[in-house]
Amino acid sequence: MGSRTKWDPLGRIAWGLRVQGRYLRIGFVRKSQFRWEFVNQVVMDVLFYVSFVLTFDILYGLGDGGLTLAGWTYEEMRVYLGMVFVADSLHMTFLGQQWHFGNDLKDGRLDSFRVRPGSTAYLYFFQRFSPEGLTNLVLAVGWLVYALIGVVPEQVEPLSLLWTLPAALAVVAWSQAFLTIAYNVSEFWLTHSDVGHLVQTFVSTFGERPLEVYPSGLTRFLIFVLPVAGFGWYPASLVLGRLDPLFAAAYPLVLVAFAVGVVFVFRRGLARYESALG
Amino acid sequence: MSALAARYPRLLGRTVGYEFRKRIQFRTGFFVREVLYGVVEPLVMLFVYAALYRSADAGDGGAGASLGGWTFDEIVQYVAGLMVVRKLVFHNRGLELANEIFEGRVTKYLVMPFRFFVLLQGRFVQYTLLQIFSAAAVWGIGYAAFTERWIVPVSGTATIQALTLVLMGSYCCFLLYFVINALAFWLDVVWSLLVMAWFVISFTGGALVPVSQMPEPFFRVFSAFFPYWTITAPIELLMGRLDASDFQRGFLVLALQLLLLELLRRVVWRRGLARYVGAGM
Repeated sequence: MGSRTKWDPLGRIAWGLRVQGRYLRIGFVRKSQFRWEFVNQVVMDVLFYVSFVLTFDILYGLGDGGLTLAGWTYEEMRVYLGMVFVADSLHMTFLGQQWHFGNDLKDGRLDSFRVRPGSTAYLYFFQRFSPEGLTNLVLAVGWLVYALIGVVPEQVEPLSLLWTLPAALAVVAWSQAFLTIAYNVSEFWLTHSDVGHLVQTFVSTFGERPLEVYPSGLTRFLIFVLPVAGFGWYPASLVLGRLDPLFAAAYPLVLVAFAVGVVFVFRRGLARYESALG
Repeated sequence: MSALAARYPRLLGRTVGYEFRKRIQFRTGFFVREVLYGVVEPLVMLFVYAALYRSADAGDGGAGASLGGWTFDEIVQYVAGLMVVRKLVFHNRGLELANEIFEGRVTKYLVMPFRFFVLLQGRFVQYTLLQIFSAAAVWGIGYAAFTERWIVPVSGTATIQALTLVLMGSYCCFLLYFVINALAFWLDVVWSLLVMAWFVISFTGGALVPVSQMPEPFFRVFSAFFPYWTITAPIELLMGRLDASDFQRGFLVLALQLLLLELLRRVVWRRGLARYVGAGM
Protein backbone atom coordinates (compact mmCIF):
# COMPACT_ATOMS: atom_id res chain seq x y z
CA MET A 1 0.00 0.00 0.00
CA GLY A 2 2.91 2.31 0.73
CA SER A 3 3.90 2.43 -2.93
CA ARG A 4 0.38 3.59 -3.85
CA THR A 5 0.59 6.78 -1.89
CA LYS A 6 4.17 7.66 -2.86
CA TRP A 7 4.42 10.55 -5.34
CA ASP A 8 5.98 8.93 -8.39
CA PRO A 9 4.45 10.38 -11.58
CA LEU A 10 6.85 8.64 -13.96
CA GLY A 11 6.23 5.35 -12.25
CA ARG A 12 2.47 5.87 -12.53
CA ILE A 13 2.74 6.68 -16.23
CA ALA A 14 4.88 3.57 -16.79
CA TRP A 15 2.29 1.52 -14.89
CA GLY A 16 -0.52 3.04 -16.98
CA LEU A 17 1.31 2.16 -20.19
CA ARG A 18 1.90 -1.41 -18.99
CA VAL A 19 -1.83 -1.73 -18.28
CA GLN A 20 -2.60 -0.28 -21.69
CA GLY A 21 -0.23 -2.77 -23.33
CA ARG A 22 -2.09 -5.58 -21.62
CA TYR A 23 -5.45 -4.22 -22.76
CA LEU A 24 -4.05 -3.94 -26.29
CA ARG A 25 -3.03 -7.59 -26.29
CA ILE A 26 -6.43 -8.65 -24.95
CA GLY A 27 -8.13 -6.49 -27.58
CA PHE A 28 -6.33 -8.27 -30.42
CA VAL A 29 -7.03 -11.71 -28.94
CA ARG A 30 -10.70 -10.85 -28.43
CA LYS A 31 -11.16 -9.50 -31.91
CA SER A 32 -9.35 -12.32 -33.67
CA GLN A 33 -12.39 -14.43 -32.68
CA PHE A 34 -14.76 -12.27 -34.70
CA ARG A 35 -13.02 -11.41 -37.94
CA TRP A 36 -16.18 -10.33 -39.71
CA GLU A 37 -16.99 -7.99 -36.87
CA PHE A 38 -13.55 -6.44 -37.27
CA VAL A 39 -14.23 -5.67 -40.93
CA ASN A 40 -17.75 -4.47 -40.13
CA GLN A 41 -16.59 -2.02 -37.52
CA VAL A 42 -13.97 -0.56 -39.83
CA VAL A 43 -16.56 -0.18 -42.58
CA MET A 44 -19.03 1.29 -40.08
CA ASP A 45 -16.70 4.10 -39.15
CA VAL A 46 -15.75 4.68 -42.76
CA LEU A 47 -19.45 5.10 -43.51
CA PHE A 48 -19.70 7.59 -40.64
CA TYR A 49 -16.81 9.59 -42.15
CA VAL A 50 -18.22 9.36 -45.67
CA SER A 51 -21.68 10.51 -44.58
CA PHE A 52 -20.12 13.53 -42.85
CA VAL A 53 -17.89 14.43 -45.76
CA LEU A 54 -20.72 14.02 -48.28
CA THR A 55 -23.09 16.10 -46.14
CA PHE A 56 -20.70 19.03 -46.01
CA ASP A 57 -19.74 18.57 -49.67
CA ILE A 58 -23.42 18.87 -50.55
CA LEU A 59 -24.00 21.84 -48.22
CA TYR A 60 -21.01 23.84 -49.48
CA GLY A 61 -21.86 22.82 -53.05
CA LEU A 62 -25.24 24.52 -52.78
CA GLY A 63 -23.73 27.95 -53.08
CA ASP A 64 -21.42 27.58 -56.11
CA GLY A 65 -18.27 27.89 -54.00
CA GLY A 66 -19.06 31.12 -52.17
CA LEU A 67 -20.60 29.71 -48.99
CA THR A 68 -18.98 29.56 -45.57
CA LEU A 69 -20.22 28.07 -42.34
CA ALA A 70 -20.01 30.86 -39.76
CA GLY A 71 -16.70 31.89 -41.31
CA TRP A 72 -15.37 28.38 -41.94
CA THR A 73 -14.45 27.83 -45.57
CA TYR A 74 -14.80 24.43 -47.23
CA GLU A 75 -11.04 23.77 -46.89
CA GLU A 76 -11.09 24.70 -43.20
CA MET A 77 -14.15 22.55 -42.64
CA ARG A 78 -12.26 19.54 -43.98
CA VAL A 79 -9.58 20.12 -41.32
CA TYR A 80 -12.32 20.45 -38.71
CA LEU A 81 -13.79 17.12 -39.81
CA GLY A 82 -10.30 15.60 -39.65
CA MET A 83 -10.07 16.53 -35.95
CA VAL A 84 -13.57 15.16 -35.33
CA PHE A 85 -12.67 11.87 -37.05
CA VAL A 86 -9.45 11.55 -35.04
CA ALA A 87 -11.38 12.20 -31.82
CA ASP A 88 -14.02 9.65 -32.78
CA SER A 89 -11.47 6.96 -33.63
CA LEU A 90 -9.54 7.61 -30.41
CA HIS A 91 -12.79 7.07 -28.58
CA MET A 92 -13.46 3.86 -30.50
CA THR A 93 -9.90 2.62 -29.91
CA PHE A 94 -9.58 3.19 -26.19
CA LEU A 95 -12.89 4.16 -24.65
CA GLY A 96 -15.47 1.76 -26.11
CA GLN A 97 -16.27 0.31 -22.67
CA GLN A 98 -18.11 3.48 -21.76
CA TRP A 99 -21.16 2.24 -23.70
CA HIS A 100 -21.54 -0.46 -21.03
CA PHE A 101 -21.01 1.72 -17.98
CA GLY A 102 -24.70 2.13 -17.10
CA ASN A 103 -25.35 -1.61 -17.35
CA ASP A 104 -22.18 -2.56 -15.50
CA LEU A 105 -23.07 -0.18 -12.73
CA LYS A 106 -26.61 -1.55 -12.52
CA ASP A 107 -25.34 -5.13 -12.40
CA GLY A 108 -22.65 -4.34 -9.83
CA ARG A 109 -19.73 -5.18 -12.09
CA LEU A 110 -17.37 -2.44 -10.92
CA ASP A 111 -16.11 -4.44 -7.95
CA SER A 112 -13.09 -5.97 -9.63
CA PHE A 113 -11.94 -2.52 -10.76
CA ARG A 114 -12.28 -0.92 -7.35
CA VAL A 115 -9.99 -3.39 -5.61
CA ARG A 116 -7.16 -3.08 -8.13
CA PRO A 117 -4.13 -0.93 -7.28
CA GLY A 118 -4.87 2.01 -9.58
CA SER A 119 -7.42 4.55 -10.75
CA THR A 120 -10.83 2.88 -11.09
CA ALA A 121 -11.82 5.27 -13.88
CA TYR A 122 -8.66 4.58 -15.87
CA LEU A 123 -8.87 0.80 -15.42
CA TYR A 124 -12.56 0.71 -16.26
CA PHE A 125 -12.89 3.12 -19.17
CA PHE A 126 -9.69 2.10 -20.96
CA GLN A 127 -10.13 -1.67 -20.60
CA ARG A 128 -11.52 -2.30 -24.11
CA PHE A 129 -8.73 -1.69 -26.59
CA SER A 130 -10.13 -1.93 -30.09
CA PRO A 131 -7.87 -2.93 -33.02
CA GLU A 132 -10.56 -1.87 -35.49
CA GLY A 133 -10.64 1.54 -33.82
CA LEU A 134 -6.89 1.74 -34.35
CA THR A 135 -7.38 0.95 -38.05
CA ASN A 136 -9.87 3.79 -38.24
CA LEU A 137 -7.46 6.06 -36.40
CA VAL A 138 -4.99 5.51 -39.24
CA LEU A 139 -7.71 6.39 -41.76
CA ALA A 140 -8.77 9.45 -39.75
CA VAL A 141 -5.19 10.71 -39.53
CA GLY A 142 -4.89 10.11 -43.27
CA TRP A 143 -7.93 12.33 -43.87
CA LEU A 144 -6.54 14.99 -41.54
CA VAL A 145 -3.23 15.05 -43.43
CA TYR A 146 -5.11 15.26 -46.74
CA ALA A 147 -7.20 18.14 -45.39
CA LEU A 148 -4.13 19.96 -44.10
CA ILE A 149 -2.46 19.70 -47.50
CA GLY A 150 -5.41 21.75 -48.77
CA VAL A 151 -4.55 24.71 -46.51
CA VAL A 152 -0.73 24.55 -46.58
CA PRO A 153 1.02 26.84 -47.38
CA GLU A 154 -1.64 29.43 -48.39
CA GLN A 155 -3.24 29.64 -44.96
CA VAL A 156 -0.98 27.66 -42.65
CA GLU A 157 2.80 27.88 -42.36
CA PRO A 158 4.22 24.35 -42.65
CA LEU A 159 6.69 25.08 -39.84
CA SER A 160 3.98 26.13 -37.42
CA LEU A 161 2.39 22.70 -37.85
CA LEU A 162 5.44 21.21 -36.15
CA TRP A 163 4.13 22.39 -32.80
CA THR A 164 0.44 23.12 -33.39
CA LEU A 165 -0.41 19.69 -34.78
CA PRO A 166 1.05 17.61 -31.90
CA ALA A 167 -0.45 20.08 -29.41
CA ALA A 168 -3.84 19.85 -31.13
CA LEU A 169 -3.80 16.05 -31.15
CA ALA A 170 -2.80 15.96 -27.48
CA VAL A 171 -5.75 18.25 -26.67
CA VAL A 172 -8.08 16.00 -28.68
CA ALA A 173 -6.97 12.92 -26.72
CA TRP A 174 -7.15 14.68 -23.35
CA SER A 175 -10.60 16.13 -24.03
CA GLN A 176 -12.01 12.90 -25.36
CA ALA A 177 -10.88 10.95 -22.29
CA PHE A 178 -12.30 13.33 -19.69
CA LEU A 179 -15.46 14.15 -21.63
CA THR A 180 -16.21 10.44 -21.90
CA ILE A 181 -15.94 10.01 -18.13
CA ALA A 182 -17.98 13.19 -17.62
CA TYR A 183 -20.83 11.89 -19.81
CA ASN A 184 -21.15 8.81 -17.63
CA VAL A 185 -20.90 10.09 -14.07
CA SER A 186 -24.62 10.88 -14.00
CA GLU A 187 -25.29 7.11 -14.06
CA PHE A 188 -24.11 6.93 -10.43
CA TRP A 189 -27.15 8.97 -9.47
CA LEU A 190 -29.57 7.98 -12.26
CA THR A 191 -28.88 4.28 -12.61
CA HIS A 192 -29.50 2.67 -16.01
CA SER A 193 -31.01 5.88 -17.26
CA ASP A 194 -29.00 6.24 -20.49
CA VAL A 195 -28.50 9.87 -19.49
CA GLY A 196 -24.78 9.40 -20.19
CA HIS A 197 -25.55 8.30 -23.73
CA LEU A 198 -27.99 11.14 -24.22
CA VAL A 199 -25.51 13.75 -22.99
CA GLN A 200 -22.83 12.23 -25.18
CA THR A 201 -25.04 12.20 -28.26
CA PHE A 202 -26.26 15.70 -27.52
CA VAL A 203 -22.93 17.25 -26.74
CA SER A 204 -20.77 15.45 -29.27
CA THR A 205 -23.29 16.14 -32.03
CA PHE A 206 -22.98 19.83 -31.17
CA GLY A 207 -19.18 19.56 -31.04
CA GLU A 208 -18.96 17.95 -34.47
CA ARG A 209 -19.89 21.28 -36.09
CA PRO A 210 -18.00 24.60 -35.81
CA LEU A 211 -19.15 26.17 -32.54
CA GLU A 212 -19.67 29.60 -34.13
CA VAL A 213 -22.88 28.35 -35.75
CA TYR A 214 -24.64 28.29 -32.37
CA PRO A 215 -26.02 31.21 -30.34
CA SER A 216 -23.22 32.87 -28.37
CA GLY A 217 -24.41 31.60 -24.97
CA LEU A 218 -24.40 28.01 -26.15
CA THR A 219 -21.03 28.48 -27.82
CA ARG A 220 -19.53 29.75 -24.56
CA PHE A 221 -21.10 26.83 -22.70
CA LEU A 222 -19.50 24.36 -25.12
CA ILE A 223 -16.13 26.08 -24.82
CA PHE A 224 -15.91 26.76 -21.10
CA VAL A 225 -18.42 24.62 -19.18
CA LEU A 226 -18.73 21.32 -21.02
CA PRO A 227 -15.68 21.82 -23.23
CA VAL A 228 -16.44 19.76 -26.33
CA ALA A 229 -14.49 22.53 -28.04
CA GLY A 230 -11.48 20.43 -27.04
CA PHE A 231 -12.05 17.68 -29.59
CA GLY A 232 -12.91 19.65 -32.71
CA TRP A 233 -13.18 23.40 -32.56
CA TYR A 234 -10.07 24.28 -30.52
CA PRO A 235 -7.59 21.88 -32.20
CA ALA A 236 -8.81 22.75 -35.71
CA SER A 237 -8.73 26.47 -34.93
CA LEU A 238 -5.25 26.09 -33.44
CA VAL A 239 -3.69 24.45 -36.49
CA LEU A 240 -5.49 26.84 -38.83
CA GLY A 241 -4.25 29.89 -36.91
CA ARG A 242 -7.77 31.14 -36.22
CA LEU A 243 -7.20 31.77 -32.50
CA ASP A 244 -5.93 34.74 -30.58
CA PRO A 245 -2.48 33.62 -29.28
CA LEU A 246 -3.32 34.43 -25.66
CA PHE A 247 -6.54 32.43 -25.80
CA ALA A 248 -4.75 29.58 -27.58
CA ALA A 249 -2.17 29.43 -24.80
CA ALA A 250 -4.62 29.74 -21.93
CA TYR A 251 -7.41 27.43 -23.08
CA PRO A 252 -5.70 24.16 -22.05
CA LEU A 253 -6.06 25.43 -18.46
CA VAL A 254 -9.83 25.25 -18.90
CA LEU A 255 -9.46 21.63 -19.98
CA VAL A 256 -7.25 20.84 -16.99
CA ALA A 257 -9.75 22.45 -14.60
CA PHE A 258 -12.54 20.46 -16.25
CA ALA A 259 -10.56 17.22 -15.84
CA VAL A 260 -10.01 17.93 -12.14
CA GLY A 261 -13.75 18.53 -11.72
CA VAL A 262 -14.61 15.31 -13.55
CA VAL A 263 -12.25 13.25 -11.37
CA PHE A 264 -13.74 14.84 -8.24
CA VAL A 265 -17.34 14.08 -9.29
CA PHE A 266 -16.42 10.55 -10.40
CA ARG A 267 -14.94 9.85 -6.96
CA ARG A 268 -18.06 11.21 -5.27
CA GLY A 269 -20.17 8.94 -7.47
CA LEU A 270 -17.98 5.94 -6.82
CA ALA A 271 -18.43 6.47 -3.09
CA ARG A 272 -22.18 5.88 -3.64
CA TYR A 273 -21.58 2.59 -5.45
CA GLU A 274 -22.68 -0.38 -3.34
CA SER A 275 -21.90 -3.31 -5.65
CA ALA A 276 -25.52 -4.40 -5.79
CA LEU A 277 -27.36 -1.77 -7.76
CA GLY A 278 -29.02 -4.34 -10.04
CA MET B 1 -57.14 -21.67 -38.34
CA SER B 2 -59.90 -19.42 -36.99
CA ALA B 3 -58.83 -20.16 -33.40
CA LEU B 4 -55.31 -19.15 -34.36
CA ALA B 5 -56.58 -16.00 -36.04
CA ALA B 6 -58.54 -15.10 -32.90
CA ARG B 7 -55.58 -15.76 -30.66
CA TYR B 8 -53.13 -13.56 -32.63
CA PRO B 9 -54.63 -10.14 -31.73
CA ARG B 10 -54.94 -11.23 -28.07
CA LEU B 11 -51.34 -12.35 -27.97
CA LEU B 12 -50.19 -9.23 -29.78
CA GLY B 13 -52.11 -7.09 -27.28
CA ARG B 14 -50.48 -8.81 -24.32
CA THR B 15 -47.04 -8.48 -25.86
CA VAL B 16 -47.59 -4.77 -26.43
CA GLY B 17 -48.63 -4.34 -22.79
CA TYR B 18 -45.58 -6.27 -21.60
CA GLU B 19 -43.29 -4.19 -23.83
CA PHE B 20 -44.70 -1.00 -22.31
CA ARG B 21 -43.99 -2.33 -18.81
CA LYS B 22 -40.43 -3.23 -19.77
CA ARG B 23 -39.73 0.20 -21.27
CA ILE B 24 -41.04 2.29 -18.38
CA GLN B 25 -39.32 0.25 -15.66
CA PHE B 26 -36.49 2.78 -15.31
CA ARG B 27 -38.30 6.08 -15.60
CA THR B 28 -35.38 8.36 -16.46
CA GLY B 29 -34.17 5.82 -18.99
CA PHE B 30 -37.65 5.69 -20.48
CA PHE B 31 -37.70 9.47 -20.85
CA VAL B 32 -34.22 9.58 -22.36
CA ARG B 33 -34.48 6.59 -24.68
CA GLU B 34 -38.07 6.87 -25.85
CA VAL B 35 -39.21 10.46 -25.41
CA LEU B 36 -36.09 12.44 -26.36
CA TYR B 37 -35.18 10.07 -29.20
CA GLY B 38 -34.53 11.81 -32.52
CA VAL B 39 -34.69 15.42 -31.34
CA VAL B 40 -31.02 16.41 -31.03
CA GLU B 41 -29.67 16.00 -34.55
CA PRO B 42 -32.39 18.04 -36.27
CA LEU B 43 -31.73 20.86 -33.82
CA VAL B 44 -28.03 20.91 -34.72
CA MET B 45 -28.97 20.70 -38.39
CA LEU B 46 -31.06 23.85 -37.96
CA PHE B 47 -28.11 25.83 -36.56
CA VAL B 48 -25.88 24.67 -39.41
CA TYR B 49 -28.47 25.68 -41.99
CA ALA B 50 -28.99 29.07 -40.33
CA ALA B 51 -25.25 29.76 -40.61
CA LEU B 52 -25.20 28.57 -44.21
CA TYR B 53 -28.12 30.76 -45.27
CA ARG B 54 -26.60 33.74 -43.46
CA SER B 55 -23.50 33.27 -45.57
CA ALA B 56 -25.66 33.27 -48.73
CA ASP B 57 -27.18 36.47 -47.40
CA ALA B 58 -28.28 39.21 -49.75
CA GLY B 59 -28.65 41.67 -46.85
CA ASP B 60 -31.70 39.99 -45.34
CA GLY B 61 -30.03 37.51 -43.00
CA GLY B 62 -30.40 34.76 -45.57
CA ALA B 63 -34.20 34.68 -45.37
CA GLY B 64 -34.64 35.40 -49.08
CA ALA B 65 -31.87 33.12 -50.35
CA SER B 66 -32.73 29.84 -52.03
CA LEU B 67 -30.24 26.99 -51.86
CA GLY B 68 -30.92 23.86 -53.89
CA GLY B 69 -34.53 24.92 -54.33
CA TRP B 70 -35.15 25.48 -50.61
CA THR B 71 -35.59 28.80 -48.81
CA PHE B 72 -34.55 29.10 -45.18
CA ASP B 73 -38.18 29.19 -44.02
CA GLU B 74 -38.81 25.91 -45.82
CA ILE B 75 -35.72 24.39 -44.22
CA VAL B 76 -36.99 25.43 -40.77
CA GLN B 77 -40.27 23.66 -41.53
CA TYR B 78 -38.39 20.64 -42.83
CA VAL B 79 -36.33 20.41 -39.63
CA ALA B 80 -39.51 20.73 -37.55
CA GLY B 81 -41.05 17.93 -39.62
CA LEU B 82 -37.89 15.88 -39.19
CA MET B 83 -38.16 16.12 -35.40
CA VAL B 84 -41.66 14.66 -35.62
CA VAL B 85 -41.11 12.08 -38.37
CA ARG B 86 -37.81 10.69 -37.03
CA LYS B 87 -39.48 9.75 -33.79
CA LEU B 88 -41.85 7.47 -35.67
CA VAL B 89 -39.15 5.57 -37.55
CA PHE B 90 -38.26 2.33 -35.77
CA HIS B 91 -34.66 2.57 -34.58
CA ASN B 92 -31.71 0.23 -34.87
CA ARG B 93 -31.47 -0.45 -31.13
CA GLY B 94 -35.08 -1.61 -30.97
CA LEU B 95 -34.51 -5.38 -31.08
CA GLU B 96 -32.37 -7.66 -28.93
CA LEU B 97 -32.62 -10.66 -31.22
CA ALA B 98 -28.92 -10.80 -32.22
CA ASN B 99 -27.83 -11.07 -28.59
CA GLU B 100 -30.38 -13.77 -27.94
CA ILE B 101 -29.09 -15.76 -30.90
CA PHE B 102 -25.47 -15.25 -29.87
CA GLU B 103 -26.15 -16.35 -26.31
CA GLY B 104 -28.30 -19.29 -27.35
CA ARG B 105 -31.46 -17.92 -25.77
CA VAL B 106 -33.68 -18.27 -28.83
CA THR B 107 -34.47 -21.87 -27.87
CA LYS B 108 -37.08 -20.81 -25.32
CA TYR B 109 -39.10 -19.08 -28.03
CA LEU B 110 -39.09 -22.14 -30.26
CA VAL B 111 -40.99 -24.24 -27.76
CA MET B 112 -43.74 -21.64 -27.27
CA PRO B 113 -47.14 -22.53 -28.77
CA PHE B 114 -47.19 -19.53 -31.13
CA ARG B 115 -45.09 -17.77 -33.74
CA PHE B 116 -42.03 -16.15 -32.18
CA PHE B 117 -42.30 -13.19 -34.58
CA VAL B 118 -45.45 -11.99 -32.79
CA LEU B 119 -43.30 -11.00 -29.82
CA LEU B 120 -41.18 -8.76 -32.02
CA GLN B 121 -44.22 -7.32 -33.75
CA GLY B 122 -45.46 -6.47 -30.27
CA ARG B 123 -42.31 -4.43 -29.75
CA PHE B 124 -42.94 -2.63 -33.05
CA VAL B 125 -46.56 -1.84 -32.17
CA GLN B 126 -45.60 -0.65 -28.66
CA TYR B 127 -42.86 1.56 -30.13
CA THR B 128 -45.20 3.02 -32.75
CA LEU B 129 -48.03 3.76 -30.29
CA LEU B 130 -45.66 5.44 -27.87
CA GLN B 131 -43.92 7.46 -30.57
CA ILE B 132 -47.17 8.63 -32.16
CA PHE B 133 -48.03 10.14 -28.79
CA SER B 134 -44.51 11.49 -28.33
CA ALA B 135 -44.36 12.92 -31.89
CA ALA B 136 -47.74 14.60 -31.40
CA ALA B 137 -46.43 16.16 -28.18
CA VAL B 138 -43.29 17.44 -29.94
CA TRP B 139 -45.40 18.89 -32.73
CA GLY B 140 -47.76 20.54 -30.23
CA ILE B 141 -44.97 22.06 -28.13
CA GLY B 142 -43.17 23.28 -31.26
CA TYR B 143 -46.35 24.77 -32.67
CA ALA B 144 -47.16 26.54 -29.40
CA ALA B 145 -43.65 27.97 -29.14
CA PHE B 146 -42.98 28.84 -32.81
CA THR B 147 -46.41 29.12 -34.38
CA GLU B 148 -45.26 31.28 -37.31
CA ARG B 149 -42.38 29.07 -38.40
CA TRP B 150 -43.43 25.56 -37.35
CA ILE B 151 -44.61 22.99 -39.85
CA VAL B 152 -48.38 22.87 -40.28
CA PRO B 153 -49.81 20.16 -42.56
CA VAL B 154 -51.38 21.61 -45.70
CA SER B 155 -54.43 19.35 -45.31
CA GLY B 156 -55.88 16.42 -43.40
CA THR B 157 -55.38 14.24 -46.47
CA ALA B 158 -51.71 15.15 -46.64
CA THR B 159 -51.35 14.23 -42.96
CA ILE B 160 -52.91 10.81 -43.51
CA GLN B 161 -50.77 10.23 -46.59
CA ALA B 162 -47.60 11.26 -44.77
CA LEU B 163 -48.43 9.11 -41.75
CA THR B 164 -49.12 6.13 -44.02
CA LEU B 165 -45.74 6.47 -45.71
CA VAL B 166 -43.86 6.94 -42.44
CA LEU B 167 -45.46 3.92 -40.80
CA MET B 168 -44.89 1.71 -43.84
CA GLY B 169 -41.28 2.92 -43.98
CA SER B 170 -40.88 2.33 -40.27
CA TYR B 171 -42.07 -1.26 -40.75
CA CYS B 172 -39.51 -1.64 -43.56
CA CYS B 173 -36.83 -0.50 -41.08
CA PHE B 174 -38.16 -2.99 -38.53
CA LEU B 175 -37.93 -5.83 -41.07
CA LEU B 176 -34.47 -4.75 -42.18
CA TYR B 177 -33.22 -4.64 -38.58
CA PHE B 178 -34.77 -8.07 -38.00
CA VAL B 179 -32.87 -9.47 -40.99
CA ILE B 180 -29.60 -7.91 -39.79
CA ASN B 181 -30.20 -9.24 -36.27
CA ALA B 182 -30.84 -12.70 -37.72
CA LEU B 183 -27.47 -12.57 -39.49
CA ALA B 184 -26.09 -13.29 -36.01
CA PHE B 185 -26.77 -16.97 -36.85
CA TRP B 186 -23.78 -16.69 -39.18
CA LEU B 187 -21.77 -13.69 -37.97
CA ASP B 188 -22.29 -13.88 -34.16
CA VAL B 189 -21.95 -10.14 -33.58
CA VAL B 190 -23.85 -7.68 -35.78
CA TRP B 191 -24.27 -4.42 -33.85
CA SER B 192 -21.95 -2.57 -36.23
CA LEU B 193 -24.12 -3.66 -39.18
CA LEU B 194 -27.12 -2.18 -37.40
CA VAL B 195 -25.32 1.12 -36.89
CA MET B 196 -24.24 1.07 -40.53
CA ALA B 197 -27.82 0.47 -41.60
CA TRP B 198 -28.91 3.55 -39.66
CA PHE B 199 -26.12 5.67 -41.22
CA VAL B 200 -27.30 4.62 -44.68
CA ILE B 201 -31.00 5.09 -43.88
CA SER B 202 -30.46 8.51 -42.31
CA PHE B 203 -28.28 9.81 -45.15
CA THR B 204 -30.29 8.38 -48.04
CA GLY B 205 -33.56 9.21 -46.30
CA GLY B 206 -32.78 12.88 -45.73
CA ALA B 207 -32.12 13.06 -41.98
CA LEU B 208 -28.95 15.10 -42.63
CA VAL B 209 -29.89 17.01 -45.79
CA PRO B 210 -33.29 16.83 -47.58
CA VAL B 211 -32.84 14.39 -50.45
CA SER B 212 -34.47 16.84 -52.86
CA GLN B 213 -31.79 19.40 -51.98
CA MET B 214 -29.02 16.98 -52.96
CA PRO B 215 -27.52 16.93 -56.47
CA GLU B 216 -29.77 15.35 -59.11
CA PRO B 217 -27.94 11.96 -59.38
CA PHE B 218 -28.26 11.44 -55.62
CA PHE B 219 -31.95 12.29 -55.75
CA ARG B 220 -32.60 9.95 -58.65
CA VAL B 221 -30.94 6.99 -56.92
CA PHE B 222 -32.20 7.59 -53.37
CA SER B 223 -35.81 8.17 -54.41
CA ALA B 224 -35.96 4.57 -55.60
CA PHE B 225 -35.56 3.24 -52.05
CA PHE B 226 -37.70 3.19 -48.93
CA PRO B 227 -35.66 5.58 -46.69
CA TYR B 228 -36.48 8.56 -48.94
CA TRP B 229 -40.21 7.72 -48.79
CA THR B 230 -39.95 7.30 -45.01
CA ILE B 231 -38.32 10.64 -44.13
CA THR B 232 -38.00 13.32 -46.82
CA ALA B 233 -41.14 12.55 -48.83
CA PRO B 234 -43.64 12.54 -45.92
CA ILE B 235 -42.28 15.88 -44.69
CA GLU B 236 -42.60 17.35 -48.17
CA LEU B 237 -46.15 15.99 -48.37
CA LEU B 238 -46.98 17.79 -45.11
CA MET B 239 -45.42 20.98 -46.50
CA GLY B 240 -47.33 20.72 -49.77
CA ARG B 241 -44.18 20.36 -51.87
CA LEU B 242 -45.36 16.89 -53.00
CA ASP B 243 -48.87 15.87 -54.01
CA ALA B 244 -51.19 12.86 -54.26
CA SER B 245 -49.44 11.41 -57.32
CA ASP B 246 -46.15 11.41 -55.39
CA PHE B 247 -47.93 9.68 -52.52
CA GLN B 248 -49.18 6.96 -54.86
CA ARG B 249 -45.67 6.39 -56.19
CA GLY B 250 -44.27 6.28 -52.67
CA PHE B 251 -46.98 3.87 -51.57
CA LEU B 252 -46.09 1.49 -54.40
CA VAL B 253 -42.34 1.71 -53.74
CA LEU B 254 -42.84 1.06 -50.03
CA ALA B 255 -45.36 -1.76 -50.54
CA LEU B 256 -43.03 -3.53 -52.96
CA GLN B 257 -39.96 -3.16 -50.76
CA LEU B 258 -41.92 -4.15 -47.68
CA LEU B 259 -42.93 -7.38 -49.42
CA LEU B 260 -39.37 -8.07 -50.50
CA LEU B 261 -38.07 -7.47 -46.98
CA GLU B 262 -40.76 -9.75 -45.53
CA LEU B 263 -39.70 -12.51 -47.94
CA LEU B 264 -36.07 -11.94 -47.06
CA ARG B 265 -36.93 -12.04 -43.35
CA ARG B 266 -38.61 -15.43 -43.73
CA VAL B 267 -35.75 -16.91 -45.75
CA VAL B 268 -33.02 -15.62 -43.44
CA TRP B 269 -34.89 -16.73 -40.31
CA ARG B 270 -35.59 -20.22 -41.68
CA ARG B 271 -32.03 -20.75 -42.87
CA GLY B 272 -30.58 -19.30 -39.69
CA LEU B 273 -32.68 -21.58 -37.52
CA ALA B 274 -31.45 -24.55 -39.53
CA ARG B 275 -27.91 -23.65 -38.39
CA TYR B 276 -28.91 -23.00 -34.80
CA VAL B 277 -27.85 -25.60 -32.27
CA GLY B 278 -29.10 -23.88 -29.11
CA ALA B 279 -25.65 -23.31 -27.66
CA GLY B 280 -24.44 -19.75 -27.17
CA MET B 281 -21.42 -17.97 -25.79
